[in-house]
Amino acid sequence: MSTLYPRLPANAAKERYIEIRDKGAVDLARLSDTSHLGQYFAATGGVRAAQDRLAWLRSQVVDLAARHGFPGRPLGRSVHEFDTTLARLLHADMNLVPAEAAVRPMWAFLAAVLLPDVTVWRFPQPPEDRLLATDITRHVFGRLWWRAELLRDDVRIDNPYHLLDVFPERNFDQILARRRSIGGSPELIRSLAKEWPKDWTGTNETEALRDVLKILMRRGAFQDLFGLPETLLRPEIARTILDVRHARTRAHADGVDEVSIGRYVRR
Amino acid sequence: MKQARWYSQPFPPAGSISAEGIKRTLGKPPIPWPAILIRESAQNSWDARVGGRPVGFTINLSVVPPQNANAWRTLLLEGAPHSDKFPLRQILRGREWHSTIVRTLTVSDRGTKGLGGPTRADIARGDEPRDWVSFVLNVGDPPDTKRGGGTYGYGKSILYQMSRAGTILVHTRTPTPAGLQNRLIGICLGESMEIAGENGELRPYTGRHWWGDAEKAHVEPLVGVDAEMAAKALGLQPFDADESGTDVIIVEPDLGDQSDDEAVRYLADAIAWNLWPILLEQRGTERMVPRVWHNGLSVPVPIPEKTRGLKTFVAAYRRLQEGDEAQTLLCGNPKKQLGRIALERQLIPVFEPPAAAQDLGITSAPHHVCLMRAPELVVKYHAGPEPISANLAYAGVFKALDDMDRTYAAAEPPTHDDWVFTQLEGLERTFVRTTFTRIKERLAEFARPAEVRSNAARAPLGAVSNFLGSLVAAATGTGAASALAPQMAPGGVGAERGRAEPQGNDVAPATSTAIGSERSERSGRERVSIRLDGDPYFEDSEIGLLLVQDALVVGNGHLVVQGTAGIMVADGSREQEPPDGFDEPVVLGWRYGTGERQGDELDLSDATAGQRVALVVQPVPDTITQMDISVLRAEGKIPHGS
Repeated sequence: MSTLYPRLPANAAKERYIEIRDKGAVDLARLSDTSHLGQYFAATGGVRAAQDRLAWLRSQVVDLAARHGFPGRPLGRSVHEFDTTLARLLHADMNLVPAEAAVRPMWAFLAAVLLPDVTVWRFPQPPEDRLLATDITRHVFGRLWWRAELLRDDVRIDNPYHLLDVFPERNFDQILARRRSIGGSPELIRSLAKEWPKDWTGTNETEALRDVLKILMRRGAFQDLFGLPETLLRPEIARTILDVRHARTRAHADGVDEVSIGRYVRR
Repeated sequence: MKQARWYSQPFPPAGSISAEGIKRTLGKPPIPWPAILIRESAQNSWDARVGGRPVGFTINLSVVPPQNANAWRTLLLEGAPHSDKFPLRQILRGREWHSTIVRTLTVSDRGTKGLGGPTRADIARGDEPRDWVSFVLNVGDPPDTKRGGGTYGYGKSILYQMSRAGTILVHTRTPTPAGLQNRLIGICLGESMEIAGENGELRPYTGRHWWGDAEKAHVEPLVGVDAEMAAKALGLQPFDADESGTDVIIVEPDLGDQSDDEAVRYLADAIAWNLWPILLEQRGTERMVPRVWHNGLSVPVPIPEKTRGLKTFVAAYRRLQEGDEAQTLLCGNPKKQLGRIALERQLIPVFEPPAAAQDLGITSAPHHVCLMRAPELVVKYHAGPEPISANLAYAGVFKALDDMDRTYAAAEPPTHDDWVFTQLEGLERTFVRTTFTRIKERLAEFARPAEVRSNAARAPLGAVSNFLGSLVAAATGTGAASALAPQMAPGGVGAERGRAEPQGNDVAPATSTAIGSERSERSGRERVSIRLDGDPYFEDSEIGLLLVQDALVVGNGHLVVQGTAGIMVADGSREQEPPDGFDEPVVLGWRYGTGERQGDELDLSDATAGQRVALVVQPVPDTITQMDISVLRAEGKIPHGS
């Protein structure tokens, strides 16, 4: 049975956001709470998270943040490591189903009520969507849970989250930006992460990923990439990556030659 | 219970044909044996249909169940000649194939009348059916089934040739005056031989053997309860109480180099590609329902209406049935109607037809005419000119008129897979030869590129911008293609294709009063616009494969149109920017009349109704190209005097 988390209605969330956005992490520790007057739960679909469970989740996250300098020191260079570890933690411990994880008020509660101090420590003076999850792919916690969800590799029982390290955040954002098409397929994203080369010396990795995604978008128009099993998908993706590498190192094709517009050749 | 035993036919003093001679009647067919097996046996089953219900036609490759293996050895070797020219003995004893497992290939039909009539050949029969005698005893009986597919029944020798033992079992249930009767007999077509008789004297035998209720000089089948019990002991499929039909069991079939899995797959494909006209669902009860089994598992038979390549033929066949653009082919001298033909063009992705279709000559996208006679069985796929693009398939169906049926039948070789006019004489020869000439002429006309398609819809499209988005898979893509071109408006010219008509006639402006209100209404408005004509199509050109969209000017005046092309991506939108170093489709330009213009814009200062233009785009392989034509400027001509 999955766990249901409290949800914070939009108005209350907005109020809360205005209250905390300019404050520092140290001040906000006092404001954190395991419940809110306006909170509500989904009527059905799981077990409601009790306050002690929320407190436990908070302590887990705070402990992790503390190892990276919370609350006094800014995060600095270990951003990527903190994010991937937190993604693992949230995905492994929250016991969420995707349907619940797609609910914005749930993430708003987490960021604005349960962990406001960690939120502003991670994103000082955060823009609205980092807290309110108006766009979950930008939410301070929601985006991490989804990244773990999409990259979790159940084949590797010892370390199912090993793929989290492959893409830096801004690159993974490109995948999420296309979530209506290829971003919606965990199989595809996992295969992409597994085939993604480590070494991109001489090539802009971000642009290369953008191009690979574009080609997959082209292919997806007539080929059902979602339906392929991983064993068939991976060679396809490896080939696409190779194509992009060659194309990027190749000089750009010359413009269209000034030729006639072609006449039907009779046989 | 009667004890069934083998009877070997001795040469009579007056001489007889030997088993080898019978086997040779089929000649050396150009198509493989499994395909002939399907064609011949399906033809027999089809001719034997009772009517009022579909004919069930089943192929079953299986093994003799272990619990019946002993019965096979004891029952089926009783009285068998001791000679190495009778291989059934070795096969059943497991000596020849080092295995006691005996495979069987059963060809069954239900909803058929079974093999009826007398069971000995020397009884005069008059008009009575004589299926038993024709199938089991005689060779080369002239046909009696009215408008039947078979001619002389040489085809059945394929059944013996398919068996490594040269042996088949025939199990049939047929109506007799005393009700339905089961009959069971074994037949072997081996090699002629000499065997010592009881008194030690050598005697020559023809190599034909029968297993059943052996009498003095012929063999009666086991009938009734005897047949039922023997069939049960041998593990043969029993008949339901009220059904008639025939099972032919080929003992230890020789399927060539193929594995059994490949062989049944081939048989299933061969059923679809050879029998599709009689499999169509639209026929209702007057059709054949095929099934293929392999060791108890069902092997799907391709459905003609849904099978790539074949469905193009089905579409042509429907046109022929409905008279939609079907033509009657004529012989000029002497004047004679030969048959009717209908053609269908379809854009299909590149595909490789199954082996069973390749053996019939269809090795790429179809560009063939399927020849058939009254029984509507495929005689042959007659190849026409190659289409202009690998994606553009066309298919035709030619069906001989009923009164010409005998002529075409006479032109068929024993395997019924061709019409050979050289084996005819006189007028008949002329008719068949002319048929091929006429088909060739018709195809030359049809296979030409798309200018041929000139009919116009009457409905002007009012919108300033016509959405002409048409989707086709580009060049070497493996995906499916779909064309989303607007359909012809109702009230279009329809069946009469303007092959010889001057262009523009169809959409002539107000001067024509032939078509009444719709037309005069449009001339009053004098709007000028553009309307696409047909689906986009591929074209081979000296600069590679091109995608062309034909369009027609509607109305008169000054018209400026712009064509765009882009790639459709997974979420249905158009790609904004191509990946670095990858191509995107390019609008090369426009063709109009005799001229052409490069670039995406076409400015026709004096566009006239019915004028043809074509947008030419260079597509990118492995993508879906989306083409749009929009009107940038449209000024109708100011009517004179106003």
